[in-house]
Amino acid sequence: MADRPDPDVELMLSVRDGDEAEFQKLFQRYAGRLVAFADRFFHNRAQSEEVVQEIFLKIYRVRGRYEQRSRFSTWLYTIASRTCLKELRKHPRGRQQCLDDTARETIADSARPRADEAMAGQQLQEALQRCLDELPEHQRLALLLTRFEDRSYAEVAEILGVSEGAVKSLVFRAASSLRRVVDAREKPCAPEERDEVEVVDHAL
Amino acid sequence: MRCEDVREEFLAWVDEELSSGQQAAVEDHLSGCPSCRKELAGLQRTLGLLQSLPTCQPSEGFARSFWQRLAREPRRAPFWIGSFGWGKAIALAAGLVLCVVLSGLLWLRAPGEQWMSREDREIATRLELFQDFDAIAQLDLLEDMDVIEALPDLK
Repeated sequence: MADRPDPDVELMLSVRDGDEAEFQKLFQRYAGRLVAFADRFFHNRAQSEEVVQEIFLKIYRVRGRYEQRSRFSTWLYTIASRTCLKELRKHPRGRQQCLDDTARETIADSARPRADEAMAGQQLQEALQRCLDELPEHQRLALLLTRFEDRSYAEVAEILGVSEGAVKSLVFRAASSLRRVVDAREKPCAPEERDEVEVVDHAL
Repeated sequence: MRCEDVREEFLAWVDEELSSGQQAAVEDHLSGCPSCRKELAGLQRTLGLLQSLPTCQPSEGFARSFWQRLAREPRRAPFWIGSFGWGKAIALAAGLVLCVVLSGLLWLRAPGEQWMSREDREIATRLELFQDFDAIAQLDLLEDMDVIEALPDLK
């Protein structure tokens, strides 16, 4: 439970008691953020929007039974995380499917040596994204929630149903995996080091 | 602190999630360990790159399409349905109707007494007077003290 009163909880309590105009405020406050959050899973705006609409419809349908047990954002991100993971399990995406056509062309082209820094940066981003996509579910969620959604470790612990110590460990392991990708990409490609990059590429 | 223990705390240190004691311990170690400082710089570079990943923005029609979808949702049910759900609420309503019907049937099976309260029934069974309809018919006379005094039986 939050120490200070949570204004979003107050809004949700009003929605529960029949003030539907307050629901609009909650939607405006969080829907955009949640589309970005969902898109980190689906890499597809239409699907992300569909999932976020489902999340808000769920909230609307259960509004009469809402109880204040935590911050509103904690409750919302718990629903959002579960919905995204459920949707992802229902429609598992291959790694190539996660990327749009332009990115796919870039990957197909990636065997050729490149001097262009912008292209190298794009490749690095793609490699990071693929690594992020393949992290175990809890590691990925912990990293996304702390890095992109500004959730505290305590809040993430509540969302994932684990201890704060476990969250610390999850984000550490996730960041270490990403770090390995960055290191492998950024090291100068001496013949012996190129092998290392290829090993990481293969793992991705 | 050993280097590997400190490195596990780096992310929490960056996120300011450590206690003041833990934070001071990490900083003490960093000040004397160039290798960990290099490791931290690498981690921070990774986090920076992570933040540079593109962020999806909702389409223009997203909110409008949601409100149209919401408009098709059934309106709010009465509070007691909201608490139980439709299935349970219907079962509860059916149970109440059954109770009312059964009570009515029982009431109809006891004619003649249903209008009497328990107190009335007690008076009716105990007082012989109550069974004497002549006396009841002349009940007003009993309130007239002159008439009572004139009655030979009561003297």
